[in-house]
Amino acid sequence: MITQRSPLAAYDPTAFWDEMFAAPGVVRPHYEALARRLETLSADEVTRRQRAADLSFQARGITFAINQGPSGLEKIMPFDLIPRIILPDEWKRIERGLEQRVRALNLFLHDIYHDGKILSSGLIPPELILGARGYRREVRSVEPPLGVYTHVVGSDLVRDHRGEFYVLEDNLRVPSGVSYVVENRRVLKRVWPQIFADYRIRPVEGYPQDLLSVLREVAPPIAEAATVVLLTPGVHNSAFFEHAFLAKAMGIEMVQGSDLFVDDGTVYMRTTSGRRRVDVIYRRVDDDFLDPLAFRHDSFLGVPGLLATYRMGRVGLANALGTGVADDKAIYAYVPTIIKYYLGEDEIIPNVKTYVAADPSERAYILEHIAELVVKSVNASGGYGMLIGPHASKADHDEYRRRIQADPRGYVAQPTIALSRHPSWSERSLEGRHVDLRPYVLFGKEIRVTPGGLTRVALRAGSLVVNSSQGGGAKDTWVLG
Amino acid sequence: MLCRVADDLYWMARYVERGIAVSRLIDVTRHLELDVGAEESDFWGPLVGAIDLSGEAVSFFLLSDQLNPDSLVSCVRHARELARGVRESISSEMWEELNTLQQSLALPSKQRQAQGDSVSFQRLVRQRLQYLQGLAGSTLAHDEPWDFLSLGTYLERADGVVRLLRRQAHLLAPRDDEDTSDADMVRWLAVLRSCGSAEAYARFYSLRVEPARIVEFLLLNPVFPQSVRFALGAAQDALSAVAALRSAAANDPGPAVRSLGRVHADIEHAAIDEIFESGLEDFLFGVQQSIAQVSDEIAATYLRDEPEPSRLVGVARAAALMAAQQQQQQ
Amino acid sequence: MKVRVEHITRFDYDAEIVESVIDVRLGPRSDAHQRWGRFEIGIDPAGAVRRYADGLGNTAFLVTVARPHRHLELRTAGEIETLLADPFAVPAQSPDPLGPSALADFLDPSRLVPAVPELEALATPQRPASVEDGFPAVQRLMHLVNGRLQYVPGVTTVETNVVDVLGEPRGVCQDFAHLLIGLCRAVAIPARYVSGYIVADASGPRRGTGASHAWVEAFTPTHGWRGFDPTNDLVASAYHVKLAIGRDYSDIPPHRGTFRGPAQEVLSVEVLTAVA
Repeated sequence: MITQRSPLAAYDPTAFWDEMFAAPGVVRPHYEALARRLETLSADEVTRRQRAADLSFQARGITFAINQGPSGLEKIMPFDLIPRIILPDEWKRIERGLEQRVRALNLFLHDIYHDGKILSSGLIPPELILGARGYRREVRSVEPPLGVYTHVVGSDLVRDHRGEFYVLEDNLRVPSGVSYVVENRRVLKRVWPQIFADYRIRPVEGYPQDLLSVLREVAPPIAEAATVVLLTPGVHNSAFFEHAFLAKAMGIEMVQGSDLFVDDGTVYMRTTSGRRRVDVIYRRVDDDFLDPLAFRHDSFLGVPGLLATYRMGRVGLANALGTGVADDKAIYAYVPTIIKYYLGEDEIIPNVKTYVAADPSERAYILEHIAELVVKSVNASGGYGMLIGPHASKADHDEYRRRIQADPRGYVAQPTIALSRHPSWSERSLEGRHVDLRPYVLFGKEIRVTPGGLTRVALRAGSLVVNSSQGGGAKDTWVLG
Repeated sequence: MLCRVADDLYWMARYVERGIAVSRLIDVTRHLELDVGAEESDFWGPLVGAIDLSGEAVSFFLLSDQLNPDSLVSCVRHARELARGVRESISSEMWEELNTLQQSLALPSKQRQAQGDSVSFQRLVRQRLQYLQGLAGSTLAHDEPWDFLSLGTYLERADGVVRLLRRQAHLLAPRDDEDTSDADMVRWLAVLRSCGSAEAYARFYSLRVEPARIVEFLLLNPVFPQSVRFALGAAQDALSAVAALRSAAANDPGPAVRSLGRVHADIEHAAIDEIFESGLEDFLFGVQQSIAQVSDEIAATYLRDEPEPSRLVGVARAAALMAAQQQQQQ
Repeated sequence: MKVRVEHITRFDYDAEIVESVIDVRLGPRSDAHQRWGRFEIGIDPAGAVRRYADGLGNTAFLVTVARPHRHLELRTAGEIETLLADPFAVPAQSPDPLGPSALADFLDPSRLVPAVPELEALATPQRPASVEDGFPAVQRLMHLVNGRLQYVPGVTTVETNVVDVLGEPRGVCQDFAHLLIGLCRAVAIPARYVSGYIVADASGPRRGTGASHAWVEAFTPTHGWRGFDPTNDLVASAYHVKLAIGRDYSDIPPHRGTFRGPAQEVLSVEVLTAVA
């Protein structure tokens, strides 16, 4: 089926679960049409299209900032032309699994900020919850509209060597990356329209409108025609492009903290025709910086009096304050327990086995097996604060042992997962590269999972780190309809 | 529309217009040098209010000096930085044009060109900035963002032309002797060219190059877009549109509208002979003062009005802190 | 005992400012030990006063004045009935033990009261010997604080934490309170910060009248929450009126705010209390 000359002939799909190939030379059925297209193309032609895609990202300024600060560089997120394809049934299960997870986590958040039943249940050590950095006493007893705390969630899924999906972590605070989902599709359609002809692919362009509906749904009851704004930390934030992209696509103002002020229990923005009332803030600024009166006093990114106004129920925040406790990496270990406790169900997508260093016996296990484990700081994200045991030196192992003993609450560990691989275009041939999948879940009156999501790919050969800040790229992700 | 966005659009337009003016000035001075001869006189020094500077040094200062905030490359960089922050308020075409222009200026090959063939370099940049102005007109709805862009463009233009005339006022002052040398002619033409106005002038005055006519043309012409009168009129139109949104019911349109109306009316009703009689330099100085006042009033009413933030809870402005605050991502 | 209070806070600025936003915690707060009757709050110049409840159950107000102004005066007044005639008496009903939230709130270290070994070293000799010894143990710790610290106004700030106070044993009621909180927590006695007033009366305690005051509430199995005033070295009684409770001062400053404008601020406070 695959000819010798084709770029697919030399591809080695062994050693890991490969998304496209079942065995060397044997393409999985749903990738066959794509494989046929790839066979007709010379390496030059693929390279040409790759370059066209890169230029398109560059010209449209679809960038993220690295080296934070005024002199920060902007880079494009490397884009890999070969799309990832997900079968309808696979997707259905992912969808149901994420919906279950997000529902349970919102019940959990409501509980811990109200009656705290789970705190007395003996199922999760209360100090793990109440001592989490993301736990905010400031939002106790607040009733968010519809009981929803996490309006936007991006959970990271991975696939192991048997092709089984796992949730690796949940991002419940200000998950980013969704603009790439929309832009990757747009660019791939522009530079390689032919490959779309063979598939019925569920669209992702509707995301901004879906998000806007959710934001309107969580407006405080006092608002009639809700004015929604997006609050950005500013141009130096790594996700600034996304903020501008979403604001424009939703047709709402993108504001900075200094554009807003509070008067008489109302948030206003400063406009050229005077003050204008704001009802819902889609905030892309972390809790700590949202209100200098309540949180970090030195923050310039927030709005003085915002917390008080939120507590009065006179402005909506998405995501709500205080969601960080539920994506704490130590709490993550208990998500199956949380699902069982609130929904009475078993989890549909399993967790990765996680050892919590705060627990003495699990800590002992981590210290002993550190060379086999991935150790993560509970408060870091973006691939920082992480030790990949098998790839690390003896000195690094010792360093992390020391850190864990000094701050057990600060660390968890997981077995290394042999992430699945996907053919990716590298120089002049297809090479297997490790991938994950970040779908986006919207929660207003109902839960919507955008069909697709961001497939992140570790473009460096052998690397397991898919984060854009660490040399990762992205692929268009097709959910077949 | 957010005050911050209006502010950024207004300044973006000013930097684009400023870049065009700087570029023209360099172009004209190069030609002047060729026409009259470099040893004949010092043309470059007065451009930056300095003497004993080589043409190379001044040209570098105006063209590619990153440390000069008003150099051509700095203008492009500022405009692009501002555009980046308000990219949701301008068209994608405008953003892409400005973004690719800025990126191309950063290329080593372009920087070499700026050194070697500065004439075609600055001409190319100027053309792209003018193209950007055209794009704004054809890809943006002519509503509030457009009004702030126009306001910035035309106030900058009026200010720039007045500035240039003030710098050349000594050349243009009426003289007792009737003999005009070739060198004088060349200089006067250069003033016109600096404002991109030589051809249009020829249409109006059939090549009779006289200082008074030049000043009249650049100050008072009602229909030529590089004249101060035209620019102030266009700025006034834009400001009125903006002001109408703010105070539809009020009788008082605000200080900026009143001040701009006044200076525009002064120019509209001025006669060139009277201006020369009462002193060109004084007149130009007065106009420039008025434009500065209008700019301040616009800022206070519509733009980012930021008094020093003074917070009881403590203020720290360290760059490291800002970076830490912005480094939040998931 | 019926008590009347009046509290005037005045901010003066040397230049015009705009957009004052002040988060205020000056009562009212009612619990088993006190009942607020009348409560008034007013500001000058005209602006907005919005009431809400904070995450710790305190009443708070958000005061905003958007238009240009050069001063802002905030006046609160109220009538309170204090009910704790004998603070040593064991309550008729033995108190419910604290839940996990309250335990975490008032045992774990907080912003201005970090857990440090010195606290443990100081507190351990006074550790309660039995369940009944809880209340006396807090008294012993209170004497310890009162004996160790010197009352000196003006040497500490709102940012001074318990480590600073251990190093430089001087300060005001807030610093006394933080040290006692730290010592209680070091021997597993839940303790919280109380802001309030001391009623001016010939027979009452002296220090802290004429301004807002601060002391500590500690939870013991026999007495439940009871107030301990280390500045005056006495157990809080009907002469103590509570405004708000928090883990430490930083949770419940009487006012915390921002404004816009290039001005310097001068603050003056006047508190009048009297037995009605």
